[in-house]
Amino acid sequence: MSLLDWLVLIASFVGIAGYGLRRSRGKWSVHSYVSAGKQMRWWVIGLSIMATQASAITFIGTTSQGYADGLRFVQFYFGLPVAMVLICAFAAPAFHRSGVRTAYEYLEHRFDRKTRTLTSWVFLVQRGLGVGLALYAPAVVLSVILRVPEWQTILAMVLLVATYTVLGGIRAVMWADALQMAIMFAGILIAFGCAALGMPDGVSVRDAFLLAGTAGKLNAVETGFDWNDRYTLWSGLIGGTFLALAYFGTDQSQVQRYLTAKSLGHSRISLLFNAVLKVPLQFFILLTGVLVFSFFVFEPAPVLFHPSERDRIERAEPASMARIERQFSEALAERREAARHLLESRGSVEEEAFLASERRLGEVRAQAVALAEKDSGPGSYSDTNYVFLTFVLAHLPAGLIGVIIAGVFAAAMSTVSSELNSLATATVVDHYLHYVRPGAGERGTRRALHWATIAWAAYAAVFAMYGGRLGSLIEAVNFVGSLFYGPMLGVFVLAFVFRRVSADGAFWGTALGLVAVWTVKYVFSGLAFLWLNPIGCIATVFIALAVSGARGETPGLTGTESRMEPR
Amino acid sequence: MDSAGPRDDPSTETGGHLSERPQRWSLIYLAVLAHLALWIAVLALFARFFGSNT
Repeated sequence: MSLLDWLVLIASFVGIAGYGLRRSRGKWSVHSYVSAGKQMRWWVIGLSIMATQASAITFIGTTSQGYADGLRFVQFYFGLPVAMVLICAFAAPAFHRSGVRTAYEYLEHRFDRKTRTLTSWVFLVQRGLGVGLALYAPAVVLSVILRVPEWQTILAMVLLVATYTVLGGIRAVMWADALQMAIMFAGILIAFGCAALGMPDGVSVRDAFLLAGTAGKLNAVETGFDWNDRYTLWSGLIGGTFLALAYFGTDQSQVQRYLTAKSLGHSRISLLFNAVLKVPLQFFILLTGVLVFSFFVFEPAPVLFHPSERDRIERAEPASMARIERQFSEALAERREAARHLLESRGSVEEEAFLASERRLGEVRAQAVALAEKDSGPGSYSDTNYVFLTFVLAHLPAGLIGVIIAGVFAAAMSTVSSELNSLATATVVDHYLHYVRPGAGERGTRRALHWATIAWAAYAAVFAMYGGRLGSLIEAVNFVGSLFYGPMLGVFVLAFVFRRVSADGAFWGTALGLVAVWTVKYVFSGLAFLWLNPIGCIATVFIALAVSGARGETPGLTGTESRMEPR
Repeated sequence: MDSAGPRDDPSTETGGHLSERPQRWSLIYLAVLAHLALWIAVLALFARFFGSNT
């Protein structure tokens, strides 16, 4: 990176923290710290919801996924608008009328204290694992790309985020999120523009899409059904709806955002803002990756995108790597020629020749991947997260690189700040004020919120710094986090929809629902993870109804009614 | 769909022009779902337009 890029990056850091803190000025109160005084407008909430969901890996991983796998990942988001409509209709009104500060507080009003405590603990475990990963994953990629030690990227992010999150609370987090989302939008637009304008003379954007389409990278809608395929129209619409319902409807890191709205109307519009924009936005990000694929048809691409792994293999196996790189250059030239012929005549023979050259390229790359995995085992090498940044650093002009790297940092920090704020809120509101200091006043609560945020930030930093030593455990941690959503959604469905579910029914439904999901995943290990959400939700509801029925209380569906009866 | 909301407590629904009629929210929800259906159709057509001839 040039000096100009570093200046852009540092300016974005200062601007984000300064802007967030400036917008959070005013009289301090617990209400303002955790709920922004219920004064936030829909567009700030909408951008904050979007920024919280979009992590750095979404930013760099999704573009790279577009490069490698095409548009099919967009189907993952088809359930999101459906979920947002359901949340607007059922969850948002119930949360607003109850005046709660955490989603789990609502469950105490509806059921009892133990259900609130259980679900809040599940959130703390799940989101606690998530915040460590949200910091660790981009830190690894950025340290490799920028060639600085991991601890420096981790410390830079965590210190900045902790400063404005501790001092300004949710108001600073949300205004910073809005600015961070704007930086991300700018980064994506710049990358798309540079990939489109960077095509060689005589190759239009339409030609680029034609090449990508021939390579099978524009298949955005796959109507076939396969339980083990996570990206189909059906897994997206059904599994994706349940996942988005669980994430946006029960996860404090999202619920807390729309609880800050000045009215129910503002809450709903902020959610629908995401419902309308998410699919086009993800399509656009993936399409940028697809354009990068077509760009590298004409420009030289490395055989492996992970720079330090490539260097390592070149040192360890110089002769083998030199041979592979020579073959790869020949295969690239062959594909470039085939692409030119295809664009000139567009016949099926040329198309088959292009696909054959694409396969040949894949075979040569597979040899390099096998070398990379020689010591660590099959499946251990992945350079998905490095494709987009390799393109950015090698082919974008100075200054614009800084904007995109700032966008990656912004994506990471917006997720981490929201998660720290929500973790601290749940820790203090759901646990500290009930079990440690029930009589804490405004000052004591303030101190607890500050220290809880600092403690979670320190934990996230330690997790991220030692993340590399955890090895494959990182994947396990990520996977374990995804097993909680189904039962969490189930207990909220019970609260919003079913009238006469007992408190014990809700508690045991959630606890045994968690056991059911883990059992299903153990027995059917190949099952795509999106299906675990509906399974966990349905299991929780049925178990809760059974327990409630066994205790003599008749469950009944309320339809559109969502009760708020303190017990 | 959300008939219990604004009628129960109009003061919580001070968002302005959308507040008075719950039916309007139902129409907005339908519009959002129609927007999704339209995007799925556009994406399918996009793939077909630029996809392989063979």
